[in-house]
Amino acid sequence: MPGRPPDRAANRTGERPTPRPVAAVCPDPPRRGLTGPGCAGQYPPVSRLLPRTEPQAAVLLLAILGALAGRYALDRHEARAAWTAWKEEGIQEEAPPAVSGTRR
Amino acid sequence: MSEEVDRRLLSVAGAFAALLLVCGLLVDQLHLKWLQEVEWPTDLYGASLLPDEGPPDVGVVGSSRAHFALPPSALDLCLGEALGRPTKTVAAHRMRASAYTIDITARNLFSGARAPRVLVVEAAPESLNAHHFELDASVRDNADLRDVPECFAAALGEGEPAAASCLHPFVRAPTNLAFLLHRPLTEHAHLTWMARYHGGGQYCYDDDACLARNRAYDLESAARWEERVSTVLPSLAAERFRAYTIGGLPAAHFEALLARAREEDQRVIVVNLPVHALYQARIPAAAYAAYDAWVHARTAELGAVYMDLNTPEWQADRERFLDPDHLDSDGALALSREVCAEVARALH
Repeated sequence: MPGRPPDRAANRTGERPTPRPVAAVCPDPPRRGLTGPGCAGQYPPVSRLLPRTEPQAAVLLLAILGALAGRYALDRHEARAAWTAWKEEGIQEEAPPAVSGTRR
Repeated sequence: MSEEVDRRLLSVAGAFAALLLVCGLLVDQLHLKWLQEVEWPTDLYGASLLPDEGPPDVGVVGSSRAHFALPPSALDLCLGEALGRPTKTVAAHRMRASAYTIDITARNLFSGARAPRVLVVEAAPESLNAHHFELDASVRDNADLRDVPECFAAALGEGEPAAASCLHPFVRAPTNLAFLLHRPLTEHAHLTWMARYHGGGQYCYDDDACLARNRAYDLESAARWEERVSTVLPSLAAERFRAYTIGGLPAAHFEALLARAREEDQRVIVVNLPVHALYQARIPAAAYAAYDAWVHARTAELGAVYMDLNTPEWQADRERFLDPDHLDSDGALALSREVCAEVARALH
């Protein structure tokens, strides 16, 4: 069946594309999700199928990086505070048990 | 493909590649590479967090053998007596320790501002095998971004390591950053305690808490000898000495370590650590002879000292071994005293 009726595209994207002449070679279903020669407007381009997630992704990325930076800073502070206490005041944490999961 | 889609896909792929690259550099620079999902053997991440100022006097780098045999605490005890001043020794050992692993560990943790005056380097015949049985894993764990071209050259030229391993520095970030947040996999209180207060290693000798800890560990590991005799020795020759050839990335990095140390004016002491006679008997004689001749020659040519402590006397002393190729706390103390004499000469 040549092409997809404009109404189906309109249902998927919420927009009604400008009707264009239907080319006989338009694949159905659309292969690779792309518009073919002469089929522009028959299918929504991939960019419109993808959700608009950039702002949410950026916030999530910043949150992850923030958590990592905070974790690293805490580790570093803890290690250096313990080192200073030991070197300057001779304070050493109690030895934990010498359990081991060493592999070889 | 429309131009709009083309640009969008390229921009998504480009952003993803850039994110991986940035995270990879972050992991390298912050030493997050040293987070490991298994408990083995030194808390290198804990050690890497300690202040850079005042580099250690001595760095010890190697595999599990050095982790047991050369505890920093034992070396410092002996060096303190020999030199009449306190010294600071730090160990950095990693799993899958080919000479490739050992060089990159030393390059990351014991060079530049953190370069110790003396570097004690473990040598072992299996660690120099061009066909090292864990070379792929060694590359995946240790290669930095800058090592990728060399790795690909080796993969294409010699067939080892696998090319896919060479790409690991680009994809290490997601796993290691996840380890950083998910603590139970990487947090081992006793290893962190050793890294902070005793320079790492398995044993310490500074106080009663240390001695009790050593005893507890040796007692807890009493079954280790039998277990290793039955699980490691039978496949030793076929696994670790497969197609034994000194070369490839392991040998190149052993030489790179010695060359870099010479440039940085570090004294390097290469130590051939003892294994028990049962273990030694499983090493193909030709492979061991080739290794012995090569290490002797290369260390001399590159200005390092070579100490061969894998002597018949050590090999025969069952009481000093925890298992056929790892020393117990008494053995470690005795062996450290032998190495200490050479280290003290270098520190004078």
